[in-house]
Amino acid sequence: MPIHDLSYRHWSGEWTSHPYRWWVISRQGIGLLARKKGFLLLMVLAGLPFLVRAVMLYLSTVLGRVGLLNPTPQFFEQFLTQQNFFTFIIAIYAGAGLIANDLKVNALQIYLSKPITRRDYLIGKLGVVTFFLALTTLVPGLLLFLLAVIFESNVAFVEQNFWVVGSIVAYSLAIVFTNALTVLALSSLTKSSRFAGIFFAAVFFFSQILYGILSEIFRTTRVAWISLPMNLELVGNFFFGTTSRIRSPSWLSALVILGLMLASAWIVHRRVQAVEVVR
Amino acid sequence: MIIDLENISVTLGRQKVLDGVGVQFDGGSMGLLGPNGAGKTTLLKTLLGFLTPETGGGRVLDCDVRTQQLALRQKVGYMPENDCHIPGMNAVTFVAFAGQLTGMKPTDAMQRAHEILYYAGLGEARYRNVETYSTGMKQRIKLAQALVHDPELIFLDEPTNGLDPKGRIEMLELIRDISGTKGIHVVLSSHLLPDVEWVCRDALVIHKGRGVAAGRIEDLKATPGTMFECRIKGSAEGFRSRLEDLGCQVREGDDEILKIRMMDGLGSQALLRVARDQGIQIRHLVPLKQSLEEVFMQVIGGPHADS
Repeated sequence: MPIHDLSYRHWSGEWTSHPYRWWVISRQGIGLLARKKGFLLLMVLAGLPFLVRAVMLYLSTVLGRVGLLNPTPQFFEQFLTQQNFFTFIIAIYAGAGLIANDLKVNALQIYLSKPITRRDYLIGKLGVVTFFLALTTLVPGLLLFLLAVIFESNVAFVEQNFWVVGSIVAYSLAIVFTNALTVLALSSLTKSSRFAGIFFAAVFFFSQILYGILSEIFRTTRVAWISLPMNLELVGNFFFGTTSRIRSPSWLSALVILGLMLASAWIVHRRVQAVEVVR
Repeated sequence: MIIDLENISVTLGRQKVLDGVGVQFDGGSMGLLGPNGAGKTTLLKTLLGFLTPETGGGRVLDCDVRTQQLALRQKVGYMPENDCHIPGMNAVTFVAFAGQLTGMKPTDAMQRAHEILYYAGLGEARYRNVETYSTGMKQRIKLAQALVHDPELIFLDEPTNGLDPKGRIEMLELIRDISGTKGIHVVLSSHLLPDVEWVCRDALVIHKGRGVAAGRIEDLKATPGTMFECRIKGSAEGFRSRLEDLGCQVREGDDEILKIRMMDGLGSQALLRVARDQGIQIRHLVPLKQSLEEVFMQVIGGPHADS
């Protein structure tokens, strides 16, 4: 009777195509976070403002009981600006350890010894953060608009406000990518997720504190471009065509945000290497 | 030819780590030998396409190391030297994830992960978090993730590092099985000569970034000219100088034992003749075969070559 060796068998299955290889990394990261109860609780909390606004919208448009609240562009802009707080917390929770933990346990060698590129790796990691940040900004923002359309049941409302969809998308993406790229860049600079989180909080809060100090010293809000939250708010004003209490130009904030994104992308691309070169 | 590289030079920072290394490997198992810092790991990383050589080039499994790095990594497996894993995963998820990264479908990768973990001896511990593994288990899981996609060629960087004697033997047996009966070509980088001698048929010795010896281990161990171990009674001086006049090399070992490499064409008869002429007795005479260690020490220039 022949004895078959079952200890190691060659494999001859089908390979998936390379362009979606980044999705393997995103899916795995999303799955790992989704299994954490603390993170799920945070996501539920981040969804509460949406529920509150949806109820307010219903009361205002269908029942007409909240007269002051109308589904104006400001309504959607304010919602997204409010969500900035949650995006900040979620970016720390989801993003601070994404690269730092891989650096700590030398996981980059595992990733990059497979047929994936550094770009696949980075897009995969970016996908994890953007997924959760989009769930707290873009998705509820668009759902709110959809609810407004349903509750208003008015063609004129859609005709007047169809451009708001573009504004919601643009502002959400600005919030999502600014936070995601910045936190990933900081995560790539250290092997400690804790430090990466602290650095990110420092960028967020210290820039705001610095703005407060400088605006007091110079008695002007023109220095708002120093603050990350203020820049995002000004970019939001620009997308929604609303006027702002801040006298700093929106284009300058847009430039700062763009510069921050580009610098973050450059840092993260430089830091993620299969071989660490000590110069 | 599985690996065919010519004149590879790599500089990291200001340090030239590889300087004109050539590798020819026609399959089976090859050991990369060299002292620490010789450039073995850098060569492996060049073979994997992590580093682009400044000069030279070549092919690994018919893939150009400069331009077809992704296709190359599809066909090879890599077991890194350092401790490495992906945080927050148990062993089976980790190995399945490694399979998916190479392009396996999730269900295929999971099935394969179970098989490979059994093969690597981690079947019972496959649901444990990798972070809780012992050093030996971590070495095995690194091997498992390198094998999950059934590579044609596997690069093993110091696979017995940190293992106890039993674990070391088990790991070496596993590697021998991979290259001997499973048809997977193995490149084993190690500074442990017995490991390489046990597992590999071929060897490439690297020293200070240069390839200093290459070929079949048996051929490397074969001496040019016969070698003898000899103990004599009487004055060694005349005996020694007469042999050296004939072009033989004489080295004094422990316990007054002489190691004599005879000139080509000269054998034991010539040695006995010299002893008779010099009036000394030969008490002990055996033909000697070089160990890999001796070959290694010879090509890297002695035990203090690094200092």
